[in-house]
Amino acid sequence: MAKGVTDDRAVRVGVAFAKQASAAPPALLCAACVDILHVSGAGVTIMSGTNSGPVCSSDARMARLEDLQFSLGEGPCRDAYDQRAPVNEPDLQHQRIARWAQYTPSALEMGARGVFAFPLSLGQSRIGVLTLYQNGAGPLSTDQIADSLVVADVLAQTLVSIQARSRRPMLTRELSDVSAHRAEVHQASGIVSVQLGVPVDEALARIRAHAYATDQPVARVAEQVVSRALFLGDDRSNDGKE
Amino acid sequence: MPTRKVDPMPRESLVSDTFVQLADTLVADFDVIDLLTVLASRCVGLVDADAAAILLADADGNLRVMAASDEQAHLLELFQLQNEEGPCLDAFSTGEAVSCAELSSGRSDWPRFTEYAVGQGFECVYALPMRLRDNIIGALNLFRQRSGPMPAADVRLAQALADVASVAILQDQIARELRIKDGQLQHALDSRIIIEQAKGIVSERAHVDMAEAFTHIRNHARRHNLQLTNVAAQIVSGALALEHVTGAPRQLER
Repeated sequence: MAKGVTDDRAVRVGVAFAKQASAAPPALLCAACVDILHVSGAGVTIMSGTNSGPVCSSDARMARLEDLQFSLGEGPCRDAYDQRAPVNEPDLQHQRIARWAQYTPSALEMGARGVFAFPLSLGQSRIGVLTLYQNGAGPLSTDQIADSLVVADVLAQTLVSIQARSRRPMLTRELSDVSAHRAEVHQASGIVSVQLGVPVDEALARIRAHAYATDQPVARVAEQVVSRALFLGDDRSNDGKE
Repeated sequence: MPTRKVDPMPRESLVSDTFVQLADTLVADFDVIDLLTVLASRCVGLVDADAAAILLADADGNLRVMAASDEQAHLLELFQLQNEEGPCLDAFSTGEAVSCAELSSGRSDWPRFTEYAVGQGFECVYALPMRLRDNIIGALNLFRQRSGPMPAADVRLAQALADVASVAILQDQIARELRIKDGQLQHALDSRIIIEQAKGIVSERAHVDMAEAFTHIRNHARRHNLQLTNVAAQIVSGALALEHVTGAPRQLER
Protein backbone atom coordinates (compact mmCIF):
# COMPACT_ATOMS: atom_id res chain seq x y z
CA MET A 1 0.00 0.00 0.00
CA ALA A 2 1.17 3.52 -0.71
CA LYS A 3 3.04 5.34 2.00
CA GLY A 4 0.61 7.27 4.08
CA VAL A 5 -2.39 5.78 2.32
CA THR A 6 -4.17 4.17 5.19
CA ASP A 7 -7.78 5.25 4.87
CA ASP A 8 -10.49 2.71 4.23
CA ARG A 9 -11.23 3.90 0.72
CA ALA A 10 -7.67 3.37 -0.41
CA VAL A 11 -7.64 -0.09 1.10
CA ARG A 12 -10.94 -0.93 -0.62
CA VAL A 13 -9.72 0.29 -4.00
CA GLY A 14 -6.39 -1.46 -3.56
CA VAL A 15 -8.02 -4.75 -2.68
CA ALA A 16 -10.59 -4.46 -5.48
CA PHE A 17 -7.89 -3.71 -8.02
CA ALA A 18 -5.50 -6.34 -6.67
CA LYS A 19 -8.28 -8.93 -7.05
CA GLN A 20 -8.90 -7.98 -10.67
CA ALA A 21 -5.20 -7.68 -11.40
CA SER A 22 -4.33 -11.08 -10.00
CA ALA A 23 -7.19 -12.81 -11.82
CA ALA A 24 -6.71 -11.18 -15.21
CA PRO A 25 -3.89 -11.71 -17.70
CA PRO A 26 -1.59 -8.66 -17.89
CA ALA A 27 -3.16 -7.65 -21.19
CA LEU A 28 -6.34 -6.88 -19.26
CA LEU A 29 -4.71 -4.87 -16.47
CA CYS A 30 -5.57 -1.66 -18.30
CA ALA A 31 -9.21 -2.63 -18.61
CA ALA A 32 -9.24 -3.07 -14.83
CA CYS A 33 -7.71 0.43 -14.45
CA VAL A 34 -10.45 1.97 -16.60
CA ASP A 35 -13.06 0.09 -14.63
CA ILE A 36 -11.88 1.26 -11.25
CA LEU A 37 -10.69 4.76 -12.12
CA HIS A 38 -13.61 5.71 -14.42
CA VAL A 39 -11.46 7.22 -17.16
CA SER A 40 -11.68 6.95 -20.96
CA GLY A 41 -8.52 4.93 -21.33
CA ALA A 42 -5.47 3.58 -19.53
CA GLY A 43 -2.06 2.32 -20.58
CA VAL A 44 0.76 0.66 -18.65
CA THR A 45 4.38 0.92 -19.73
CA ILE A 46 7.51 -0.58 -18.21
CA MET A 47 10.44 1.83 -18.18
CA SER A 48 14.16 1.54 -17.56
CA GLY A 49 16.29 4.60 -18.15
CA THR A 50 15.46 5.70 -21.67
CA ASN A 51 14.01 2.31 -22.56
CA SER A 52 10.30 1.63 -22.49
CA GLY A 53 7.99 -1.26 -23.26
CA PRO A 54 4.20 -1.12 -23.33
CA VAL A 55 2.47 -3.84 -21.33
CA CYS A 56 -1.14 -3.12 -22.20
CA SER A 57 -3.57 -0.52 -23.46
CA SER A 58 -7.27 -0.44 -22.68
CA ASP A 59 -8.20 0.44 -26.27
CA ALA A 60 -6.78 1.22 -29.71
CA ARG A 61 -6.63 4.96 -29.05
CA MET A 62 -4.56 4.43 -25.92
CA ALA A 63 -2.23 2.13 -27.86
CA ARG A 64 -1.73 4.84 -30.47
CA LEU A 65 -1.10 7.45 -27.79
CA GLU A 66 1.54 5.22 -26.20
CA ASP A 67 3.22 4.68 -29.56
CA LEU A 68 3.08 8.40 -30.20
CA GLN A 69 5.09 9.04 -27.04
CA PHE A 70 7.59 6.39 -27.99
CA SER A 71 7.92 7.83 -31.50
CA LEU A 72 8.47 11.35 -30.25
CA GLY A 73 10.40 10.60 -27.11
CA GLU A 74 8.24 13.09 -25.23
CA GLY A 75 4.92 13.16 -23.42
CA PRO A 76 3.32 12.70 -19.99
CA CYS A 77 4.70 9.20 -19.52
CA ARG A 78 8.32 10.26 -20.01
CA ASP A 79 7.83 13.30 -17.74
CA ALA A 80 6.22 11.27 -14.95
CA TYR A 81 9.08 8.79 -15.10
CA ASP A 82 11.85 11.39 -15.24
CA GLN A 83 10.34 13.63 -12.57
CA ARG A 84 9.19 10.74 -10.34
CA ALA A 85 5.90 12.59 -9.92
CA PRO A 86 2.38 12.44 -11.35
CA VAL A 87 1.69 14.54 -14.44
CA ASN A 88 -1.69 16.24 -14.79
CA GLU A 89 -2.79 17.76 -18.07
CA PRO A 90 -6.56 18.25 -17.79
CA ASP A 91 -6.85 20.01 -21.14
CA LEU A 92 -4.36 19.56 -23.96
CA GLN A 93 -6.22 22.19 -25.98
CA HIS A 94 -5.74 24.92 -23.43
CA GLN A 95 -2.54 24.04 -21.63
CA ARG A 96 -1.56 26.20 -18.70
CA ILE A 97 2.03 25.19 -19.23
CA ALA A 98 2.86 24.83 -22.91
CA ARG A 99 4.62 21.46 -23.16
CA TRP A 100 5.20 18.57 -25.54
CA ALA A 101 5.34 20.66 -28.72
CA GLN A 102 5.02 17.59 -30.92
CA TYR A 103 2.99 15.28 -28.69
CA THR A 104 0.20 17.72 -27.85
CA PRO A 105 -1.21 18.42 -31.33
CA SER A 106 -0.97 14.76 -32.35
CA ALA A 107 -2.64 13.53 -29.15
CA LEU A 108 -5.48 16.01 -29.68
CA GLU A 109 -5.84 14.80 -33.23
CA MET A 110 -6.13 11.24 -31.93
CA GLY A 111 -9.02 12.33 -29.73
CA ALA A 112 -7.42 12.65 -26.30
CA ARG A 113 -8.26 15.81 -24.40
CA GLY A 114 -6.93 15.22 -20.88
CA VAL A 115 -3.84 13.13 -20.15
CA PHE A 116 -2.51 12.00 -16.77
CA ALA A 117 0.49 9.92 -15.83
CA PHE A 118 1.43 8.21 -12.56
CA PRO A 119 4.87 6.74 -11.93
CA LEU A 120 4.93 3.10 -10.90
CA SER A 121 7.56 2.55 -8.25
CA LEU A 122 8.61 0.22 -5.49
CA GLY A 123 10.49 1.99 -2.76
CA GLN A 124 13.19 3.99 -4.48
CA SER A 125 13.10 2.12 -7.76
CA ARG A 126 11.02 3.12 -10.72
CA ILE A 127 9.22 0.42 -12.67
CA GLY A 128 7.19 2.29 -15.25
CA VAL A 129 4.19 4.54 -15.70
CA LEU A 130 0.41 4.33 -15.68
CA THR A 131 -0.99 6.73 -18.28
CA LEU A 132 -4.66 7.75 -18.37
CA TYR A 133 -6.56 9.77 -20.91
CA GLN A 134 -9.97 11.40 -20.98
CA ASN A 135 -12.04 12.16 -24.06
CA GLY A 136 -13.25 15.36 -22.46
CA ALA A 137 -11.40 18.22 -20.78
CA GLY A 138 -11.30 18.51 -17.00
CA PRO A 139 -9.15 17.50 -14.06
CA LEU A 140 -9.37 14.15 -12.34
CA SER A 141 -11.39 14.30 -9.12
CA THR A 142 -9.60 14.07 -5.78
CA ASP A 143 -10.91 10.53 -5.42
CA GLN A 144 -9.71 9.58 -8.88
CA ILE A 145 -6.23 10.87 -8.10
CA ALA A 146 -6.13 9.10 -4.74
CA ASP A 147 -7.36 5.88 -6.34
CA SER A 148 -4.86 6.20 -9.20
CA LEU A 149 -2.01 6.36 -6.70
CA VAL A 150 -3.25 3.18 -5.04
CA VAL A 151 -3.75 1.45 -8.39
CA ALA A 152 -0.23 2.52 -9.45
CA ASP A 153 1.13 0.89 -6.30
CA VAL A 154 -0.66 -2.38 -6.89
CA LEU A 155 0.35 -2.30 -10.58
CA ALA A 156 4.03 -1.93 -9.70
CA GLN A 157 3.88 -4.96 -7.42
CA THR A 158 1.86 -6.91 -9.97
CA LEU A 159 4.32 -6.28 -12.82
CA VAL A 160 7.28 -7.23 -10.69
CA SER A 161 5.60 -10.42 -9.51
CA ILE A 162 4.64 -11.40 -13.07
CA GLN A 163 8.25 -11.09 -14.19
CA ALA A 164 9.44 -12.82 -11.02
CA ARG A 165 7.37 -15.89 -11.93
CA SER A 166 9.48 -16.30 -15.05
CA ARG A 167 12.54 -18.52 -14.69
CA ARG A 168 14.33 -16.85 -17.58
CA PRO A 169 16.00 -13.46 -17.38
CA MET A 170 14.21 -12.36 -20.55
CA LEU A 171 11.12 -10.20 -20.35
CA THR A 172 8.25 -12.62 -19.98
CA ARG A 173 5.98 -12.89 -22.97
CA GLU A 174 2.97 -11.75 -20.94
CA LEU A 175 4.68 -8.40 -20.46
CA SER A 176 6.15 -8.01 -23.93
CA ASP A 177 3.54 -9.20 -26.40
CA VAL A 178 2.21 -5.71 -26.93
CA SER A 179 5.67 -4.27 -27.62
CA ALA A 180 6.62 -6.84 -30.26
CA HIS A 181 6.12 -4.29 -33.03
CA ARG A 182 8.85 -2.16 -31.51
CA ALA A 183 11.52 -4.81 -32.04
CA GLU A 184 12.08 -3.48 -35.53
CA VAL A 185 12.70 0.02 -34.23
CA HIS A 186 15.51 -1.26 -32.03
CA GLN A 187 16.96 -3.33 -34.87
CA ALA A 188 16.86 -0.22 -37.04
CA SER A 189 18.71 1.69 -34.30
CA GLY A 190 21.48 -0.90 -34.48
CA ILE A 191 21.65 -0.63 -38.27
CA VAL A 192 21.71 3.16 -38.28
CA SER A 193 24.34 3.23 -35.53
CA VAL A 194 26.66 1.26 -37.83
CA GLN A 195 25.76 3.29 -40.90
CA LEU A 196 26.35 6.63 -39.22
CA GLY A 197 29.00 5.54 -36.74
CA VAL A 198 27.00 6.82 -33.76
CA PRO A 199 25.80 5.20 -30.50
CA VAL A 200 22.43 3.40 -30.66
CA ASP A 201 20.69 6.09 -28.59
CA GLU A 202 21.67 8.72 -31.10
CA ALA A 203 20.66 6.40 -33.93
CA LEU A 204 17.18 6.11 -32.40
CA ALA A 205 17.01 9.90 -32.14
CA ARG A 206 17.93 10.16 -35.83
CA ILE A 207 15.18 7.69 -36.75
CA ARG A 208 12.67 9.63 -34.67
CA ALA A 209 13.75 12.90 -36.27
CA HIS A 210 13.37 11.43 -39.73
CA ALA A 211 9.91 10.09 -38.89
CA TYR A 212 8.89 13.49 -37.60
CA ALA A 213 10.34 15.39 -40.56
CA THR A 214 8.64 13.11 -43.08
CA ASP A 215 5.43 12.78 -41.05
CA GLN A 216 5.56 9.01 -40.80
CA PRO A 217 5.23 6.67 -37.82
CA VAL A 218 8.56 5.58 -36.36
CA ALA A 219 7.62 1.96 -36.99
CA ARG A 220 7.30 2.61 -40.74
CA VAL A 221 10.67 4.34 -40.90
CA ALA A 222 12.20 1.44 -38.98
CA GLU A 223 10.69 -1.04 -41.40
CA GLN A 224 12.33 0.79 -44.32
CA VAL A 225 15.67 0.91 -42.54
CA VAL A 226 15.55 -2.81 -41.79
CA SER A 227 14.60 -3.68 -45.39
CA ARG A 228 17.46 -1.38 -46.48
CA ALA A 229 15.04 0.71 -48.52
CA LEU A 230 16.09 3.78 -46.56
CA PHE A 231 19.51 5.04 -45.49
CA LEU A 232 19.65 7.83 -42.99
CA GLY A 233 23.19 8.86 -43.89
CA ASP A 234 23.18 12.46 -45.07
CA ASP A 235 24.90 11.70 -48.36
CA ARG A 236 22.92 8.67 -49.37
CA SER A 237 19.45 9.00 -47.98
CA ASN A 238 17.99 10.39 -51.18
CA ASP A 239 19.18 8.03 -53.85
CA GLY A 240 19.75 4.99 -51.72
CA LYS A 241 22.98 4.07 -53.53
CA GLU A 242 25.55 2.12 -51.59
CA MET B 1 11.53 1.75 31.29
CA PRO B 2 12.82 4.27 33.80
CA THR B 3 9.56 6.21 33.62
CA ARG B 4 7.49 3.32 34.87
CA LYS B 5 5.34 3.88 37.97
CA VAL B 6 6.86 7.23 38.89
CA ASP B 7 6.19 9.01 35.63
CA PRO B 8 3.01 11.07 35.67
CA MET B 9 2.61 10.60 31.91
CA PRO B 10 -0.83 9.04 31.54
CA ARG B 11 -0.84 5.49 30.24
CA GLU B 12 -3.02 6.53 27.30
CA SER B 13 -0.34 8.90 26.00
CA LEU B 14 2.34 6.31 26.47
CA VAL B 15 0.23 3.81 24.56
CA SER B 16 -0.48 6.11 21.67
CA ASP B 17 3.15 7.23 21.67
CA THR B 18 4.23 3.61 21.34
CA PHE B 19 1.77 2.97 18.53
CA VAL B 20 3.06 5.99 16.69
CA GLN B 21 6.61 4.82 17.15
CA LEU B 22 5.71 1.38 15.83
CA ALA B 23 3.61 2.79 13.01
CA ASP B 24 6.48 5.06 11.97
CA THR B 25 8.45 2.00 11.09
CA LEU B 26 5.79 1.18 8.51
CA VAL B 27 6.78 4.10 6.34
CA ALA B 28 10.51 4.42 7.00
CA ASP B 29 13.43 2.13 6.50
CA PHE B 30 13.79 0.41 9.80
CA ASP B 31 15.70 -2.26 11.56
CA VAL B 32 13.59 -5.20 12.70
CA ILE B 33 15.69 -5.72 15.82
CA ASP B 34 15.28 -2.06 16.80
CA LEU B 35 11.55 -2.32 16.34
CA LEU B 36 11.26 -5.46 18.44
CA THR B 37 13.49 -4.04 21.15
CA VAL B 38 11.16 -1.04 21.37
CA LEU B 39 8.22 -3.41 21.59
CA ALA B 40 9.76 -5.57 24.32
CA SER B 41 10.86 -2.69 26.53
CA ARG B 42 7.61 -0.78 26.04
CA CYS B 43 5.61 -3.84 27.06
CA VAL B 44 7.34 -3.81 30.42
CA GLY B 45 6.38 -0.18 30.88
CA LEU B 46 2.84 -0.48 29.63
CA VAL B 47 1.46 -3.75 30.89
CA ASP B 48 1.70 -5.53 34.19
CA ALA B 49 4.87 -7.45 33.35
CA ASP B 50 8.44 -7.43 34.69
CA ALA B 51 10.14 -8.73 31.60
CA ALA B 52 9.32 -9.34 27.95
CA ALA B 53 10.99 -11.07 25.03
CA ILE B 54 10.25 -11.87 21.41
CA LEU B 55 10.91 -14.93 19.31
CA LEU B 56 10.74 -14.65 15.55
CA ALA B 57 10.88 -17.38 12.91
CA ASP B 58 13.73 -17.12 10.42
CA ALA B 59 13.43 -17.91 6.70
CA ASP B 60 13.58 -21.64 7.43
CA GLY B 61 10.89 -21.45 10.10
CA ASN B 62 13.30 -21.84 13.02
CA LEU B 63 12.58 -19.60 15.99
CA ARG B 64 15.23 -17.18 17.20
CA VAL B 65 15.38 -14.78 20.11
CA MET B 66 15.12 -11.37 18.48
CA ALA B 67 14.72 -8.98 21.39
CA ALA B 68 14.34 -8.93 25.16
CA SER B 69 13.70 -6.27 27.77
CA ASP B 70 16.65 -7.58 29.81
CA GLU B 71 19.20 -10.37 29.94
CA GLN B 72 17.05 -12.53 32.22
CA ALA B 73 14.21 -12.53 29.69
CA HIS B 74 16.69 -13.32 26.94
CA LEU B 75 17.87 -16.40 28.84
CA LEU B 76 14.29 -17.52 29.48
CA GLU B 77 13.71 -17.53 25.72
CA LEU B 78 16.94 -19.35 24.96
CA PHE B 79 16.00 -21.95 27.55
CA GLN B 80 12.69 -22.58 25.75
CA LEU B 81 14.43 -22.99 22.42
CA GLN B 82 17.13 -25.29 23.74
CA ASN B 83 14.67 -27.49 25.58
CA GLU B 84 12.08 -27.32 22.84
CA GLU B 85 9.30 -26.56 25.27
CA GLY B 86 7.67 -23.45 26.69
CA PRO B 87 4.77 -21.04 26.29
CA CYS B 88 6.38 -19.08 23.45
CA LEU B 89 6.84 -22.19 21.34
CA ASP B 90 3.23 -23.21 21.98
CA ALA B 91 1.90 -19.77 21.06
CA PHE B 92 3.93 -19.92 17.84
CA SER B 93 2.83 -23.40 16.87
CA THR B 94 -0.85 -22.99 17.75
CA GLY B 95 -1.32 -19.32 16.91
CA GLU B 96 -3.22 -18.95 20.19
CA ALA B 97 -2.36 -17.05 23.35
CA VAL B 98 -0.92 -19.30 26.04
CA SER B 99 -0.56 -18.52 29.74
CA CYS B 100 0.13 -19.85 33.20
CA ALA B 101 -0.60 -17.55 36.14
CA GLU B 102 0.88 -19.80 38.85
CA LEU B 103 3.98 -21.56 37.65
CA SER B 104 4.94 -22.92 41.07
CA SER B 105 1.64 -24.78 41.30
CA GLY B 106 3.38 -27.26 38.96
CA ARG B 107 0.39 -27.57 36.65
CA SER B 108 1.92 -26.17 33.51
CA ASP B 109 2.60 -28.12 30.32
CA TRP B 110 6.31 -27.26 30.45
CA PRO B 111 8.02 -28.93 33.42
CA ARG B 112 11.61 -27.97 32.56
CA PHE B 113 10.76 -24.40 31.58
CA THR B 114 8.61 -23.99 34.71
CA GLU B 115 11.38 -25.15 37.01
CA TYR B 116 13.82 -22.76 35.39
CA ALA B 117 11.41 -19.78 35.38
CA VAL B 118 10.46 -20.28 39.01
CA GLY B 119 14.15 -20.53 39.85
CA GLN B 120 14.57 -17.12 38.21
CA GLY B 121 11.78 -15.71 40.38
CA PHE B 122 8.88 -15.68 37.88
CA GLU B 123 5.43 -16.91 38.75
CA CYS B 124 3.32 -15.77 35.82
CA VAL B 125 3.90 -16.10 32.08
CA TYR B 126 1.94 -15.12 29.00
CA ALA B 127 2.83 -15.85 25.38
CA LEU B 128 1.02 -14.04 22.58
CA PRO B 129 1.30 -15.04 18.92
CA MET B 130 2.57 -12.47 16.44
CA ARG B 131 0.40 -13.02 13.43
CA LEU B 132 -1.16 -11.46 10.42
CA ARG B 133 -4.07 -13.35 8.92
CA ASP B 134 -2.73 -16.87 8.34
CA ASN B 135 0.92 -16.04 8.91
CA ILE B 136 2.38 -16.64 12.33
CA ILE B 137 5.78 -15.04 12.40
CA GLY B 138 6.73 -15.34 16.06
CA ALA B 139 5.55 -14.80 19.62
CA LEU B 140 5.76 -12.22 22.39
CA ASN B 141 6.49 -13.52 25.88
CA LEU B 142 5.58 -11.59 29.04
CA PHE B 143 6.94 -12.58 32.46
CA ARG B 144 5.85 -11.41 35.92
CA GLN B 145 7.27 -12.18 39.35
CA ARG B 146 3.91 -11.99 41.11
CA SER B 147 1.41 -14.81 40.55
CA GLY B 148 -2.15 -14.37 39.37
CA PRO B 149 -3.73 -13.59 36.00
CA MET B 150 -2.86 -10.43 34.10
CA PRO B 151 -5.65 -7.85 33.64
CA ALA B 152 -7.53 -8.60 30.40
CA ALA B 153 -6.96 -5.03 29.21
CA ASP B 154 -3.19 -5.50 29.54
CA VAL B 155 -3.27 -8.69 27.51
CA ARG B 156 -5.31 -6.98 24.81
CA LEU B 157 -2.89 -4.07 24.70
CA ALA B 158 0.15 -6.34 24.48
CA GLN B 159 -1.53 -8.26 21.66
CA ALA B 160 -2.30 -5.01 19.81
CA LEU B 161 1.33 -3.91 20.10
CA ALA B 162 2.44 -7.31 18.83
CA ASP B 163 0.01 -7.02 15.90
CA VAL B 164 1.38 -3.64 14.83
CA ALA B 165 4.90 -5.02 15.00
CA SER B 166 3.80 -8.02 12.93
CA VAL B 167 2.42 -5.78 10.20
CA ALA B 168 5.66 -3.81 10.13
CA ILE B 169 7.77 -6.94 9.85
CA LEU B 170 5.64 -8.47 7.11
CA GLN B 171 5.67 -5.25 5.13
CA ASP B 172 9.42 -5.05 5.48
CA GLN B 173 9.77 -8.62 4.20
CA ILE B 174 7.52 -7.95 1.21
CA ALA B 175 9.36 -4.74 0.39
CA ARG B 176 12.73 -6.51 0.55
CA GLU B 177 11.53 -9.35 -1.64
CA LEU B 178 10.08 -7.01 -4.22
CA ARG B 179 13.16 -4.78 -4.20
CA ILE B 180 15.29 -7.75 -5.16
CA LYS B 181 12.88 -8.85 -7.84
CA ASP B 182 12.25 -5.41 -9.22
CA GLY B 183 15.73 -5.09 -10.72
CA GLN B 184 14.81 -8.20 -12.69
CA LEU B 185 12.03 -6.40 -14.51
CA GLN B 186 14.21 -3.49 -15.66
CA HIS B 187 16.97 -5.90 -16.60
CA ALA B 188 14.54 -7.98 -18.65
CA LEU B 189 13.27 -4.92 -20.51
CA ASP B 190 16.81 -3.66 -21.20
CA SER B 191 17.90 -7.13 -22.37
CA ARG B 192 15.09 -7.39 -24.82
CA ILE B 193 15.91 -4.03 -26.37
CA ILE B 194 19.68 -4.45 -26.41
CA ILE B 195 19.41 -7.81 -28.17
CA GLU B 196 17.35 -6.22 -30.95
CA GLN B 197 19.90 -3.42 -31.28
CA ALA B 198 22.76 -5.94 -31.44
CA LYS B 199 20.90 -7.86 -34.17
CA GLY B 200 20.66 -4.66 -36.17
CA ILE B 201 24.38 -3.98 -35.75
CA VAL B 202 25.47 -7.50 -36.72
CA SER B 203 23.03 -7.53 -39.61
CA GLU B 204 24.42 -4.30 -41.04
CA ARG B 205 28.07 -5.15 -40.45
CA ALA B 206 27.94 -8.72 -41.70
CA HIS B 207 25.31 -8.17 -44.40
CA VAL B 208 22.99 -10.82 -43.07
CA ASP B 209 19.31 -10.79 -42.16
CA MET B 210 17.99 -10.47 -38.63
CA ALA B 211 17.49 -14.18 -38.10
CA GLU B 212 21.06 -14.94 -39.12
CA ALA B 213 22.35 -12.06 -37.05
CA PHE B 214 20.61 -13.51 -34.02
CA THR B 215 22.07 -16.96 -34.74
CA HIS B 216 25.57 -15.43 -34.79
CA ILE B 217 25.00 -13.72 -31.46
CA ARG B 218 23.51 -16.80 -29.85
CA ASN B 219 26.25 -19.09 -31.13
CA HIS B 220 28.92 -16.75 -29.85
CA ALA B 221 27.23 -16.72 -26.44
CA ARG B 222 27.09 -20.53 -26.39
CA ARG B 223 30.68 -20.96 -27.58
CA HIS B 224 31.97 -18.75 -24.82
CA ASN B 225 29.39 -19.77 -22.24
CA LEU B 226 28.18 -16.19 -21.90
CA GLN B 227 24.72 -14.78 -21.41
CA LEU B 228 23.01 -13.64 -24.57
CA THR B 229 22.38 -10.24 -23.02
CA ASN B 230 26.04 -9.76 -22.12
CA VAL B 231 27.17 -10.55 -25.66
CA ALA B 232 24.53 -8.17 -27.04
CA ALA B 233 25.63 -5.43 -24.64
CA GLN B 234 29.25 -5.85 -25.72
CA ILE B 235 28.29 -5.63 -29.36
CA VAL B 236 26.24 -2.49 -28.78
CA SER B 237 28.97 -0.82 -26.73
CA GLY B 238 31.57 -1.76 -29.35
CA ALA B 239 33.60 -3.76 -26.82
CA LEU B 240 33.26 -6.94 -28.86
CA ALA B 241 34.81 -7.01 -32.32
CA LEU B 242 32.42 -8.27 -34.93
CA GLU B 243 34.66 -10.90 -36.46
CA HIS B 244 34.56 -12.74 -33.15
CA VAL B 245 30.78 -12.89 -33.37
CA THR B 246 30.35 -13.86 -36.99
CA GLY B 247 33.21 -16.34 -36.76
CA ALA B 248 35.11 -14.98 -39.77
CA PRO B 249 36.96 -11.74 -40.35
CA ARG B 250 35.01 -9.49 -42.61
CA GLN B 251 35.84 -6.53 -44.70
CA LEU B 252 34.23 -3.52 -43.13
CA GLU B 253 32.54 -0.98 -45.26
CA ARG B 254 34.62 1.43 -47.15
